[in-house]
Amino acid sequence: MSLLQFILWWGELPLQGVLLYVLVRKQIFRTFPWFFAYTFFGVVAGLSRFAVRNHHPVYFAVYWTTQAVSSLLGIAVMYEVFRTVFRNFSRVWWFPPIFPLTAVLCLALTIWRSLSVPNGLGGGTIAWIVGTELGLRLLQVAMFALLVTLVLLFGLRWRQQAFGICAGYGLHASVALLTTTKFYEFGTRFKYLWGLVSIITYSIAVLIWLWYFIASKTEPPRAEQPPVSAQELGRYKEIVRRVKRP
Amino acid sequence: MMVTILWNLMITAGFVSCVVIAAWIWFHFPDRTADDVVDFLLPVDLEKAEILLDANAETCLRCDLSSREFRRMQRKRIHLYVAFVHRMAHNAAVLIDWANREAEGCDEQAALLAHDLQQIAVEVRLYSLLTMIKLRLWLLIRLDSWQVLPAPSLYEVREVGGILGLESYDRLKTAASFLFLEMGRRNFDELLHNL
Repeated sequence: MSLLQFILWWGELPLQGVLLYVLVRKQIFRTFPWFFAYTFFGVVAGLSRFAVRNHHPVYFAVYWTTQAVSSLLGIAVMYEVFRTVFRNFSRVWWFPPIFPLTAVLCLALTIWRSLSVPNGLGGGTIAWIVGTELGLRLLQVAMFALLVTLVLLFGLRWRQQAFGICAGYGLHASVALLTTTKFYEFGTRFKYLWGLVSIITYSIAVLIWLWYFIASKTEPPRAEQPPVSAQELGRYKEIVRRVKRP
Repeated sequence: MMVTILWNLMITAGFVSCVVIAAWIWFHFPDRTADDVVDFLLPVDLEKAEILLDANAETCLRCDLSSREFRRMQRKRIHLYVAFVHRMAHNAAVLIDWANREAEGCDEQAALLAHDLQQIAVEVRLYSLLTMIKLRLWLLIRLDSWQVLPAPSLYEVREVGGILGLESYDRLKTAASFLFLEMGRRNFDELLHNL
């Protein structure tokens, strides 16, 4: 492995370390506990992979186990962002079933695809693992697309950190879905290329997160106009009372 | 075949969402305060909208005009209501944007009013979007011109998706007024005029 390849492959690890440090310093575990858990696990997984990188059977087991846990945590992260952005929608009747419905649809689509599209991995454990990974990636992308669509439709305001998490993770999940799909279809032929693309995108995602969490959140000051007097307020309230109500 | 198309659509949706986010970062309105509300609103004449949705007024028109004239008139009325609904959707989006900001503020009373405004504005926005889809579909397939079917009645869009459009918009005006007052704004009359 050349130096450039080594940096590309393992460069995300120190970046994630810095991100974890920033999250701890800013006490993000209070507002986004799942994202904190995801980053913490990412650092632990990266260190474990690095430690066993020269022992192929062990690396294989460690890689896929950490990948599975990371994907599950990724879904929790997207759900956390979803809940944060739409926290005022809990009383809207059609909102609560959206997440379970999306999960069921993604599961159905993954099963349907696994049954109808031949894979290039020749069956066995690896095909199952990659198949499951595909389902999880699909759910992440579906949640990301749904989140962006609903925010646009309803003109909601992104909170800065939620937006950063969503932008970074959405980019990573979309590329990961594409590369995992190709890996599932073509097998190990383009393994190196897909791996490299995925790892570079993940590093970009970590940089996006770092950018959003390092940038301090500042609330712009309210207008300095003095409040209306009690007399004026009474007059205005009288006008409001006259506005026709259903 | 079908499953591959669906799968590829999902991947495309992911990448399109990334592009949308990038566009949003570039073009979004920075931070909407109470000062950035009034000038951005588009006035909606609720009385005219009420007449458009009035079943009696529509029946009178049906009786007074010939079938051909009524269909032509109905098409114009649909266009007019689309214009009103478009303004309602726009105003709701502006108010949601503002309410989202106030809901995050330190003033508890304002945050409470902002939550109310947010909920009603989302309701209005949902009604507007569903109604626009329905009316544009009518216009697209020229439902008003089919001689074999009766011309569509605008009364049908008074309630869409379980939401009474004009009544919700009325509540939106009240909720916006309360939050506006709470923020200590003096140009209250302008707000009511522009809504």
